[in-house]
Amino acid sequence: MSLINTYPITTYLLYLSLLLGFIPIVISVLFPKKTKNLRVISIYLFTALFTDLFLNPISKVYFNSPFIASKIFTVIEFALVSLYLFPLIQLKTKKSIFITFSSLFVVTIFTENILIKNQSFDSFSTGVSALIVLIYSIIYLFSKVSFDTNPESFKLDKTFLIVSSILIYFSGTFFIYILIKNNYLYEDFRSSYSLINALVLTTRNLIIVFAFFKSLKPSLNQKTYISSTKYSI
Amino acid sequence: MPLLQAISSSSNISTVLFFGTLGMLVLAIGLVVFIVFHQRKVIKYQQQLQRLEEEQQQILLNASIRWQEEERQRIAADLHDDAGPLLATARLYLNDNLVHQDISTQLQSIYNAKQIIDDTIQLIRNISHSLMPPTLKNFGLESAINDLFQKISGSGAINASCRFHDYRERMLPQRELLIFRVAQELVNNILKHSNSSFIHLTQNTSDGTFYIRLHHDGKGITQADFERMNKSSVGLGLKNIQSRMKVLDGSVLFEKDASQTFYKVTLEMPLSDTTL
Repeated sequence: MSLINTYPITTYLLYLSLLLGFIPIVISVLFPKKTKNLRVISIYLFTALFTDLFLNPISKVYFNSPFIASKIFTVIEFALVSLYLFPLIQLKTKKSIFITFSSLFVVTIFTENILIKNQSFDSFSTGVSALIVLIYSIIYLFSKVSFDTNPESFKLDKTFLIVSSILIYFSGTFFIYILIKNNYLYEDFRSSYSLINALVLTTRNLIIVFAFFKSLKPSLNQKTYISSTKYSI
Repeated sequence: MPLLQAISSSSNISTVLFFGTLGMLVLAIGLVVFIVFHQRKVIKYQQQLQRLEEEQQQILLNASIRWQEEERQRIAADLHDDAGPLLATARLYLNDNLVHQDISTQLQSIYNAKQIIDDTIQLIRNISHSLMPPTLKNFGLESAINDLFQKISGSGAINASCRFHDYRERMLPQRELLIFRVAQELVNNILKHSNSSFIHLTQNTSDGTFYIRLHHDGKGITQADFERMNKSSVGLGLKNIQSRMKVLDGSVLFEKDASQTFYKVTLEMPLSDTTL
């Protein structure tokens, strides 16, 4: 993620996304028990912010390339998002699905970085990682529709919000990451990249903030089915 | 390659990026919106189902209360209209003037009073038996139903027969009473409404399920009629059958025989129930 931009709104959106990114981390630190289930997401947000604010500049200074940080972040991001989504999927074959996809990702990372020795942005690995995460999210959403018959779970709950934010973020950034490798030099592309990235990042963080605030209100979930319908989607 | 050249130009890349991202976002948001709407639909459906179930429960509860009230009124009427006058008459025979009368009149009065008291005892026994048949209590469901069918057959109005194929071990008394009441209500309905020439009851068990089947050749009802009457305010007896079968964790099925000649009622329930 880069802070390069040409549209004025991009700057505001990036700052807004940074601010929004901090909120869940703060909530998670202040209310560790209530946000226990979202700990992986706060670690993910922390890693993303840390990469943007510190690792990228360090990588630029010490390795003369910002891509080292982004390559590390791709692996951490995939691991953390998979770790969050794995327990959510209720399929008998989920173990084999995760093993297959994780192996595919490892092979991709290995091929792109060790065999081909790609020195620029790891578009291929990022694309594969995004596709796998999108598949996980879609599996989760469809299993929720197909197998979950409990009306209590048919609420706009924090898990649904987080998965939706992941789905929107990875869908929105899919094309900019797979096209970035050969087009980063174009001014037009850089502007569009920054704007789309900022927009999607802000949307994701906004939904995550909403989910974290929702997790602070456990009393709503304890109400009876009839009375809780006003909070339902 | 013209395609690659086209793609490599800056504006085309931006177009691909714009439409590609837009397409992906539309798909993702579309999916989320679809799930949100689907869930809303499911919630609405579940609420509707719950409301219908509550209404049905309410109807059954009302029917049960009405039945209890009618039963109480019947017992009260029996006691007031039959036992009351009988005892009053007996009291008249045994009045204060009896001691001043001659011995033969005294004996006649005592004899009459005794007759009336015997009748009253029989009447109270009948009321008691209608509440809890002694045959059912002492000898079980098979004997009670046999007894009921013998009485019906003995009246000569209709040919009634029953056969228990597989009833070796007695059920819990409450369970037997509920099944007996359901069978009794069904038989009463057949006698009252069907104008049939025979009733035949069979019992059997299969795979842990207890079955009672009633056949008759009169005018019967089908499951659709039963469900329609259950939802309306009429058919108190049928509602009682329904609520009793619910307590037994069983079901009742009204149908026309495959030959289209007979009507068939099937009672189906688990052989053992921990709730009863």
